[in-house]
Amino acid sequence: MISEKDIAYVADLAKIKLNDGEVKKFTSDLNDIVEYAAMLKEVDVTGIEPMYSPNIDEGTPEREDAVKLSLTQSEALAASRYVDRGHFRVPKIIEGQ
Amino acid sequence: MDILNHSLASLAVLLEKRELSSRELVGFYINRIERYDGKLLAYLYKDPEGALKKAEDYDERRAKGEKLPKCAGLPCALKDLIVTSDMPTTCASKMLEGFISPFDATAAKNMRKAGYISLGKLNMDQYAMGSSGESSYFQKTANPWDYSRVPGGSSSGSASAVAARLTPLAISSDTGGSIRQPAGFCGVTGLKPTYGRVSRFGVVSYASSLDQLGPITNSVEDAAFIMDTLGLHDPADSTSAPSKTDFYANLQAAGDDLKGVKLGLPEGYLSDLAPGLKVAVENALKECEKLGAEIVGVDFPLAAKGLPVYQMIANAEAASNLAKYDGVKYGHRANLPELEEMYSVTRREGFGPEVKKRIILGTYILLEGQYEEYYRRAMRIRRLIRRGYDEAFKKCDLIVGPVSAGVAFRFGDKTISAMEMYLNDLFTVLLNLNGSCGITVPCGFAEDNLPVGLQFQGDMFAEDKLLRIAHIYQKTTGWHKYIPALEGDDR
Repeated sequence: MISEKDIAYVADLAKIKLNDGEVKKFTSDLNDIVEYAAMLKEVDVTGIEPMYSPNIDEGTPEREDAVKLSLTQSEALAASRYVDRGHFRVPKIIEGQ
Repeated sequence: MDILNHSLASLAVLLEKRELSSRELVGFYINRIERYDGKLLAYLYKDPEGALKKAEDYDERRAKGEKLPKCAGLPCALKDLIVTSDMPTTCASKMLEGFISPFDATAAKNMRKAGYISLGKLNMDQYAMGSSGESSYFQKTANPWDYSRVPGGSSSGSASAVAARLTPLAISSDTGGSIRQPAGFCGVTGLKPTYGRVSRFGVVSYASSLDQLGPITNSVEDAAFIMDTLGLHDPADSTSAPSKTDFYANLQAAGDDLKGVKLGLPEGYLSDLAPGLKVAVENALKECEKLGAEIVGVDFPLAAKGLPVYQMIANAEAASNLAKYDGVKYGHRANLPELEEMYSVTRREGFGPEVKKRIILGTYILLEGQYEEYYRRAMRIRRLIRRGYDEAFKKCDLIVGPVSAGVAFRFGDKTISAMEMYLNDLFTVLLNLNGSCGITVPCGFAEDNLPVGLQFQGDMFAEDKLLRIAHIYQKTTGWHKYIPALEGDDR
């Protein structure tokens, strides 16, 4: 059973600020989903390796490690409204000054 | 000239012979968009001037005798999660409202190189999370067969626009059925290629081990035609398969019957279906038999477990993929003075309720205490599902059945229970877990004149076989030729 406290904790980990109404609603919805998923426990998975991707068993392809052009600084900054002297501007994270 | 009677291949020939100009063709679709999209709301972004200019440019170059790419001047449209540097890409979210990518997705680049002209970007469920199109931040696309009903999701705008002939084709994505289910609801053809068949580079990720791009078109023939452009290897996507460009050529040798073809029908697949839909699907199976196919029963032992397995995997991957939306480099930002607060309010404001719910669920099942029990267990069952498919394909060429249990539902109908909404994906998610290819083709109409989709599922990289069988069924029955009567824009 997932509690409202669990949801608040997970929301904090996921960095999403929820209001009380959302915490209530998500707690109820997630309990429904997890309850439904309980049927997975009936399946015997002894000795079965996880399948993380449809074609990962064939191995990871390799390519030449070649130098290629990537985005320029101005292209990389173009989609942000918070730009300052060639950098992304964020709130102050170091105390003092 | 009746443009709507021509396949993409035939339009390409007409353009090349200069019996049709690209301006006429692109203009034809732009006129339809102007006339009908005010009510359908399939497009999130349109670029009529830009499209016409490109069309005129191709016409001029063609008149000068210049050698042009094979699809030069054909129109197309893209689901709004394929990034492009010439139009915004929003994923139908507030988070990416107005976002213009500094680069193009490989699929968009390949389309442009082949000569396609983009009419615009198509609406969808926000971040491709939904089965009705209703979770778009901007607008709710209508189903052209009945405007009070949903077009399905997440490729709501794509399926609706193709059905209404507001574009001859849409490039969409399918993570748990997002191409096949809306194609069924709107009476069009939707192909989900094998994982790796089409590059995912530049496609906004939902669940990386399930996402795959594919076309929504008005026929199987058109789907094969466009796959020759989409099926190129891409070094930028480590899961990209070797190039394949003979889908259309192989389809030309399809023949006219299904003799020797075995179609597998999983047990119980026809039990809980809406009555009219069930009749249409049963008739389709009879039609396949008349064409010479044999319907064989196949065992699909873990079919009922597909949905929870999908939910665990898709949401865990989503929680991880969507962590990058922090308001720093692009997209929405809540301009607050404290960093942690900035992150959490940005994500609160930028994501819709469904997206938030899936991130929270995904984060929950990745917690230390839950990871083994839910996530890893789901990944193990996924392998058992793969084995189930492998066994089934020893007995049959394709698996056949419905793509949804019911026809398109009314707006708001299923917003009450979240679980009920997720059950829409029951017939489609297994294929994404396996990673192989599948297609929806229209197979008739149920109550209230609503279209019904028939789903064929194939093995890994078995597109040629899938397209051949679906094409023979389609050209014999002709259900794809019905066009919905549209309401003109009289707002």
